Amino acid sequence: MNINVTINKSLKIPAFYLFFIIHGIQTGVGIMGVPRYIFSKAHQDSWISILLALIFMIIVAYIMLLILKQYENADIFNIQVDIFGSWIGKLFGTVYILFFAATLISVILTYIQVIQIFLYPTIPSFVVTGLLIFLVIYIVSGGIKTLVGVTFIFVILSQWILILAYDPISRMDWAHFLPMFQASIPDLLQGVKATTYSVTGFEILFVIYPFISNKEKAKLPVILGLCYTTFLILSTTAISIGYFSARDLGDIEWSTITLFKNVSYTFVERLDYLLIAEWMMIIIPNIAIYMWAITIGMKRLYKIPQRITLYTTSFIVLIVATVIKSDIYINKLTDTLSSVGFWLIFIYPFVLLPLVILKKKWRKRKGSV
Amino acid sequence: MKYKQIICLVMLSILLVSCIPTRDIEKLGVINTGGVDKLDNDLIEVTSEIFHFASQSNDLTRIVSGKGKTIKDSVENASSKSNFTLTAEKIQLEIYGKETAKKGILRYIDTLDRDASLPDSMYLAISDTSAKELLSTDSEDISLDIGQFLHGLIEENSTDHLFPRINFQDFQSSFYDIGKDPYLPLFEIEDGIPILAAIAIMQDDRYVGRIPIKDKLYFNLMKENIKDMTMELGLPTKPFEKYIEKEENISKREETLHTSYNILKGSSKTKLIDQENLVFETDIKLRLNLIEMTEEVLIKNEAVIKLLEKEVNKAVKTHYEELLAQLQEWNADAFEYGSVYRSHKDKGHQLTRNEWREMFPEITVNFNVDAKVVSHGAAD
Repeated sequence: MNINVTINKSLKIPAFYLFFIIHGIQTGVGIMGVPRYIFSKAHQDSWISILLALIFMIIVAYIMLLILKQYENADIFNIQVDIFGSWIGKLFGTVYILFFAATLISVILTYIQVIQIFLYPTIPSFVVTGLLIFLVIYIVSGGIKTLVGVTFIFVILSQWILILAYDPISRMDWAHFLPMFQASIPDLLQGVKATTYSVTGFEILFVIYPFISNKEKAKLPVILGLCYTTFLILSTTAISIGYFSARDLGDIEWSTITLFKNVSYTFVERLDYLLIAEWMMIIIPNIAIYMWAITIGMKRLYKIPQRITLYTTSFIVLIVATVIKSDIYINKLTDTLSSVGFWLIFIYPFVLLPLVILKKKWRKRKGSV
Repeated sequence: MKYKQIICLVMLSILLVSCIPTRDIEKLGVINTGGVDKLDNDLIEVTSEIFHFASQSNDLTRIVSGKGKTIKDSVENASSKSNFTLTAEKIQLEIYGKETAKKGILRYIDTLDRDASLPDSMYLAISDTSAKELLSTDSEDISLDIGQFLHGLIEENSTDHLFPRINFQDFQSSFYDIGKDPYLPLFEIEDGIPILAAIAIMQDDRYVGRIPIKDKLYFNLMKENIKDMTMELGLPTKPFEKYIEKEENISKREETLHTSYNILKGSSKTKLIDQENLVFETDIKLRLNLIEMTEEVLIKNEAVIKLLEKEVNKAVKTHYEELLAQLQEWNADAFEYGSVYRSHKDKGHQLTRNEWREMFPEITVNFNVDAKVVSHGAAD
């Protein structure tokens, strides 16, 4: 198996778009409910946890880029095969694919849950899943250029939501942040961990890296993407802490959406309804990129054509998303994913890096001999 | 080949969209205002004013009521009495009867929080009579329907997020925050017309007493910065005697000199001075524009202004002290001193609700009022 992949020049994308890809895949359903989880651990000092999470994320992203740089043009699937051999490497690659698939399903399930609670209590799950999946099939079969284009457009088109935040901001009670620095270090670290589910996604760097045309410029857009995501999480959490009372924030399932339940205009009474519909623009790049990563992974590991994986996965997602209904299971899935994600995304690269460097040295020595 | 696929996807999407449940507006009764009263034997009665858009009828609104064990149950009961499906997505105001509020309104609040289809922007209020009675007032003098009228009373009597615009979120926030007690507007029926009569002071979720509506300024000032509001103050006439125009002012002078001001800017700041003995200090800053005076006090020089300011300081301070004493008697911390105390609490210990309940009647507050009469209108 050739470790480096050759990508057709016409399929390559400039590093600039990494900003939108990283931000687009990180921001999804997680941000709708994350303030509550961070708050339950770090309380009024949650903002420190989030800033710590950003530093941690930047370090991890740096490590990822370092790993990728050891090869000419490889992605995680090939690197793992190279390091661990065909069997274990493929097994690890499959873990990645399963993780992508599970995240994809959890995003869809959470979004359906929100729609059912806020908009249509009786809408069947398969309708929403179907509509989303059709769009995803359409985007992914358009290839990476369509994918990146959609991400770019949708990220830009959904930024207006930020303007609506003026209303909750004007109602904030700053005393909720006092007294400051009450959380202990373990609490803060727990808060960092609670942030992980909503920042998962930047592991896509491992998959999309070979498609970048100017790799030397990749670092800046990646870091900016991470910073922007963190900025959004930080501001929604800070606004939530100021807006809700402590006891209340612990109870609210989707605090970010509830923030906007108070915004109303003479021409639209309930802006939260529009917001949930608009959230589809945030979800679509998310699930489309995951779907694309799955198809690429299957192609690299098992040589299965992307089209076949696309249709099979879509079908499986449709079935699973229809079957799982109870919010207890959905929360369980999310919890499991966030703890698996923590190890897979934040810890695993630290293990992988020394191995990759060792292997490279070993190969050099062997080459020189 | 590609086109066939796309057409297939589009067709399926269109088919799926039709699965979304529809609701025709002609068949809906849109609840605009709701009223909750507790009856005997654990039943509650919900009275709501609904909008309906059926073409046969001339009246746009109608009052319906239903009884049940829970709010939703009562609405369901009301629904069965009318030919509409009642929906509460556009509810603007929820009113609780005073007797109901005395027993606590938390149990009626839960559904507002749990049911995501309800807006957070709805105002909460208390009625001196039962909510049903208030919503059933039918007067020629109100050109609007009663729900819109009451909503208007709340909207027009304040600006920004100030009292009496207490919406569900504000209430919930002050209810759940440790060291704060909520207060709500109180409606009364006077000569057959509902008026905004008082501030209903709550201890947690229970109504404990009322304070006249004209004091809303003092409450708003404790909470946020205010501007462009009118304040009336009664000052003793005595200190001003020598400045009063003797010749023109023939009639016998009153004991009190009534004055009105436009507050250009008002702010307050509270500090905890002594944690041990629970001593607080509240600095109140007022920039005033004198707009009315019941006696002809000639404001010729700075000394008169200084005197006026001194008297204003005294009057505001006294009034705050009276209000605080009243709140302490009811043990309802509407001025949010507990919140300040909580913010200064030492590390490792969280202030609890009961602790503050015991402490609040014991606190002492030094009010320092700094009023400046910036201008005295177009006359001396």
